[in-house]
Amino acid sequence: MVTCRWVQDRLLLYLAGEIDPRLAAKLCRHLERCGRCTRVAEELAETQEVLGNALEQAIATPATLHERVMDALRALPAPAPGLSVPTRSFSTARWGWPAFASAGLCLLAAGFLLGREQALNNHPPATPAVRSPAAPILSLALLAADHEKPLQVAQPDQVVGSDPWQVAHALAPRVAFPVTAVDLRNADARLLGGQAQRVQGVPVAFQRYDWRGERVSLFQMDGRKIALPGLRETTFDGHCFLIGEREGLGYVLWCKGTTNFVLVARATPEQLLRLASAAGGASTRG
Amino acid sequence: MSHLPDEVLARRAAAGHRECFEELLARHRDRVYRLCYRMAGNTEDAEDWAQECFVRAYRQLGHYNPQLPFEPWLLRVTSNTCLNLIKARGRRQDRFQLGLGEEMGERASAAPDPLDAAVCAEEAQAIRAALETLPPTLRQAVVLRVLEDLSFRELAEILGVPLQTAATRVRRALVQVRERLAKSGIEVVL
Repeated sequence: MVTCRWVQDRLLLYLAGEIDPRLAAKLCRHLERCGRCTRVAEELAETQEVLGNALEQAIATPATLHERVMDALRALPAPAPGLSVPTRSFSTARWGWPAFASAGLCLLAAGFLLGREQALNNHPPATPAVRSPAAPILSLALLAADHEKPLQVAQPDQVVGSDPWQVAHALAPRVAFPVTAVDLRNADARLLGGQAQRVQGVPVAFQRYDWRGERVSLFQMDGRKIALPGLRETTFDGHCFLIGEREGLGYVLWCKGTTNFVLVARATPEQLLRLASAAGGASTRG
Repeated sequence: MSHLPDEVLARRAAAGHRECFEELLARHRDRVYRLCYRMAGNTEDAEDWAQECFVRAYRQLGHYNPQLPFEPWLLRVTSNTCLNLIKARGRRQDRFQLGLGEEMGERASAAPDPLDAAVCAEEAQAIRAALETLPPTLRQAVVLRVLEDLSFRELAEILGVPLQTAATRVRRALVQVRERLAKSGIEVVL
């Protein structure tokens, strides 16, 4: 039974639009016939706004606060590591790469830990995420679907060509952000062409490569509009990447500036890291 | 580092990368200070309290779950630290201010008409008095909701209470403020 007390308890949630639609309908019907609860709703809204107006004031943070906090922290011992980074297991190498490739990755990770200060200072890394709190999380399943589609001739917003700068230059106006020209010829990957498309409503520049007979897709998108998913972090060649694998497809993700990059292929992420590193290192704005 | 999300920075700071915490400090110091100012009531205490909040957050990084957003966690540490400091100060003096006096005085003195200035000052005094009579948990809820413009979901997450409880605290605070203002002869109108 909908009582006035029940309604008044939920009025603020109702006014803020943070209530279940079915409950909202009940409140609405009650308010239509109950003048008392309607008055309470009006008073709550008024008081909230009056307080907000009264308390609204720009407050300048003292310039000394930052240094005071850092001085206080320097006097403390470093916190004991209490967090574990969740890891994901990977399937065995599809192409039978030697086991020392995995050991080599561990050594690289160890080397990173030892030389992390220098790495952070000397190599601005391609970082795993550029994120706006309100941006949707990228769906890898949608990228997988695009990756599996063949690059068809005469499709709208499609560019066919092997010149990375020409393809990037042609795609840029179609996606309304600067597309990076990614030349992977030194990594044995030949550009076939590209296409402008939308993933989750966000414009994406998609480039297709042939890598030793294997199809490789490179997606680029504005990182302020769509966030990278929280996959396993790794470091390769001094750069930070997010890697993952699902249904036989390997994914390597990174960001540079405001652009998020995603490399997809039927290979393990470890196999793709060398290609991703070449993409990250060789890229220039198109 | 400026492109790393808060959650990654917090995880690295917990692992010993103090420079990552410094980046978090740069990003969030304004919001933390603003909240501390509202809770402490004056600039001197606000800076001390903000420093204490960040030091406490640094010490508690090992308890932060990087799978969850960082900012609500930081605001929770901040508001709980301020509550504790309020209680400690309350044992020394039986009242606390809500940081209204300083800027409300400025606003009143900035009013072009002397009558308006007097009205503003009177209203400011009444609003401050009304808020000061609230129990600390209700003050905490209404300050976070009204000043920080948090949704009720965000507020509930920061307070660590169910959504309905967060809304109930704000409602009770607003009702009590309105009743107190009515007793002072101040009519709440927009």
